[in-house]
Amino acid sequence: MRRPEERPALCWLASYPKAGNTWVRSLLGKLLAGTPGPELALAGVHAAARGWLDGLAGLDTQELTHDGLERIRPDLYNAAAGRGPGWLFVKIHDALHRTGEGRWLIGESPQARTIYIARHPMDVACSLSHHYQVSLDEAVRRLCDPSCALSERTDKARAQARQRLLDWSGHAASWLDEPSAHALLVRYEDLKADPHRELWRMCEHLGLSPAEADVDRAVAGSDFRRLAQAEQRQGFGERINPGVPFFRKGEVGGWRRELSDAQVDRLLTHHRPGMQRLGYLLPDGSPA
Amino acid sequence: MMYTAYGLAIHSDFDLPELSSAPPGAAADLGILLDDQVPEALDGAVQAGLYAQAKDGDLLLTVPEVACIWVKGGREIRVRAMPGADAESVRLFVLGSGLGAALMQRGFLVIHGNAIEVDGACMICVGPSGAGKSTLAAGFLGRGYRVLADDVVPIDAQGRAWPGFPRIKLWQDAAAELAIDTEGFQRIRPGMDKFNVPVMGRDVSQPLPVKWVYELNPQAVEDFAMAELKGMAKLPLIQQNTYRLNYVAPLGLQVSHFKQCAALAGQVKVARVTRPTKPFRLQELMDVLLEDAHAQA
Repeated sequence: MRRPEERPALCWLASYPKAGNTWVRSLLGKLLAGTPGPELALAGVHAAARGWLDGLAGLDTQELTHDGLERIRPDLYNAAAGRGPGWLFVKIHDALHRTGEGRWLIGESPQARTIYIARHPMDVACSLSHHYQVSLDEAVRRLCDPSCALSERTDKARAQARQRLLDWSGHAASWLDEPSAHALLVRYEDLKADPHRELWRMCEHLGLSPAEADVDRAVAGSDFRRLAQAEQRQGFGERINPGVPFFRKGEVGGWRRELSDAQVDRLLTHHRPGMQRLGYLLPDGSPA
Repeated sequence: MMYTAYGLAIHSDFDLPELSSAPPGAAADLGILLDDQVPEALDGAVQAGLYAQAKDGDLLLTVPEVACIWVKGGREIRVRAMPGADAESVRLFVLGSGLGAALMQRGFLVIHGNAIEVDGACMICVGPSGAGKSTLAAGFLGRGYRVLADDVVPIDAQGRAWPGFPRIKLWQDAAAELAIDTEGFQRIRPGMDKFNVPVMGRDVSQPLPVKWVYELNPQAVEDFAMAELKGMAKLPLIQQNTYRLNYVAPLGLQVSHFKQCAALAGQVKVARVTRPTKPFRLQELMDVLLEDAHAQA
């Protein structure tokens, strides 16, 4: 393994599922690639991907319990982290929590930075329902359940480690309230409204000074319709159900058509403070 | 206690109920020893990951909360269990990574997969976690095929796979799919619903020539697809499905490993089998593999 002074620093791309993480990976990936590459190329690695964790550990992490693997993840990330220059992007859905031994899940690397990608919880619920093929009621329930986790079964092999999500509000607060995460908030809705501006903000946060032309190219290459068409032609590894495209709608506000009043109320009641904090409420308190 | 596995007479300081017993008088090829002097680190070692290091062809594994396991020259596996470690967890790593490394040190090409006997030859199914290797092994057993090895498949210079021990490891989910009741089977370690399933009497006792290597590739698709790899394309698939590939270079085995993979590539059919992720469709998958294997005869 390369020494810390030769390895890139870690930049966590943190988000609740279906909040736009892959889109940001496409933007950053295309920006830093320099030359045009594959259409569905993405920056970085996945924090819970067993292949990566196995390589860092030198063990088959499938042979560790969920708790045992969680306890060593801080050390694995410390081993991966360098001082830069350059960034290793790590997509992470886990909420930022402490392990059983009281350490932050992401380890202790002073150079690490975070880009926290947030999306309107009602749109997240709709997207989640389609992606995981569960009912809207179930999707709403998950967003309100602080014990929600991905890949937590113990009775079958999982390609990823268990990822504790908390609920939608708790997830956001966990990353944004922890100073050592050095998190920049990027909202899906702002990415849609002005992707150039948001990509510049991310570059500034990471100390990057790209050429204007590279930013333009990255934005154009990550246009939703373009990615959706590429997926239709060649498939996409993040799709989990046949016939359900990963790049489905990519719209803002679709929840108004899909969620019932009861579902909207449930999310609003549970997440009002979080929605207020992230700018998802109108002045009259109704959802934006 | 004396045991036999992979054609080796193995002496062990602790019980290895998964293995077949050997007659007590046999001279041991390999010793598994309890040793409270096993170190936490080797000076000047090459790292093979945070918890594995190699020096002079020996490998030291420091499995968190389980044991330090020192695999020396393919002749000894020295084990120091950590306080509070349970016997099943220690055995899991000794018989997996430990024994796998010893076999590498003894000159075998060790493939990560499940090996079954088909028409007197060996079929190996490889693939990432969750691809369905152990489910497939159980499925083949259910159809009357015999298991040669589970997880650790050592192949000799003549291209023969050596039989391991009469056990497969099976997830609860797969057991349910196969209507196998796991009540009465032991977990491979506490906290995981994966079970040691004895298969005494339905295992192979002789080494068999390897004829087919199928890589399972789960995708969100509707149908099965098989893509044969030819010529040089076979080599990377074999290399990438080596057991504990990250130990090869630190153990100084990269040149012999490359040659072994190339030799195996020359003698086997290699194909990538894309299978739908849900539902698993185990019976169909077995049909696809067997039809292809028989078509070659």
